[in-house]
Amino acid sequence: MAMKTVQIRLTEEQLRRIDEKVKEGKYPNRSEAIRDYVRRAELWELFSRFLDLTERRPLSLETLEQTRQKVYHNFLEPRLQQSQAAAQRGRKGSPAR
Amino acid sequence: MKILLDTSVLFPGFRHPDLRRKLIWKLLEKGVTPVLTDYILEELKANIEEGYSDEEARIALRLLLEILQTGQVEVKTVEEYGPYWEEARGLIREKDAPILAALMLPDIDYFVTRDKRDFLEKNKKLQETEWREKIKSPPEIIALLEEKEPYG
Repeated sequence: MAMKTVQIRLTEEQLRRIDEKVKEGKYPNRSEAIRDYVRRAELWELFSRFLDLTERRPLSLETLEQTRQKVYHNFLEPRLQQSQAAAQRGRKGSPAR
Repeated sequence: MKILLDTSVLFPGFRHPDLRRKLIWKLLEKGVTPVLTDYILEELKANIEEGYSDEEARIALRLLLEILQTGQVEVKTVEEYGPYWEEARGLIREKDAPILAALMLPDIDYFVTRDKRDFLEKNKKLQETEWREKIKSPPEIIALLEEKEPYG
């Protein structure tokens, strides 16, 4: 992906912390460290909006259990059976050693 | 570090409604990769569609999609955790077995759930296995991550 160069101002403390991470080998350079911080901030922003939206309607553990039961039967059980059947076919079809 | 999130930690409970915010913040602050499964995603979708108005559901589902599109949340599929399903089924109720199977994947460090009591504490068989160490409540994961360096 094409990158653009921008000038940003950071406090000495912020820069010191970034440089520490680079020195420890967690990031190859300052740019990669800052890009990682931005990516995480973007993810936090999205999660935060999801949490805000769902804030007003708490779901009890009982409700969650009931939904899980339904999803298990309607969605997962058929897939698990398919996946196991495919694995068995694979085993039968594989050449004997 | 990779932590598998249960559906229960993404919806607010009646007690400690702000716990999930603290949990997600701590995961991201400490550089942890949040992990979901196809099963958990389907559950999230079902809970949103049943529990929220059409408009709220539309926005919530779009946000979930955007979260996944960042590529920072890993999604495990039945093809990956399926091989552990039989073992998991011998230890826990059928509907929870796919979650336990995903937790058994070697790259998953912990599983965090609001329902640790039902999942582990009421289950003697599971308590006797090595997997018990991987099952944590939100306060336990928060405490565990507090000791970890940011972005470590």
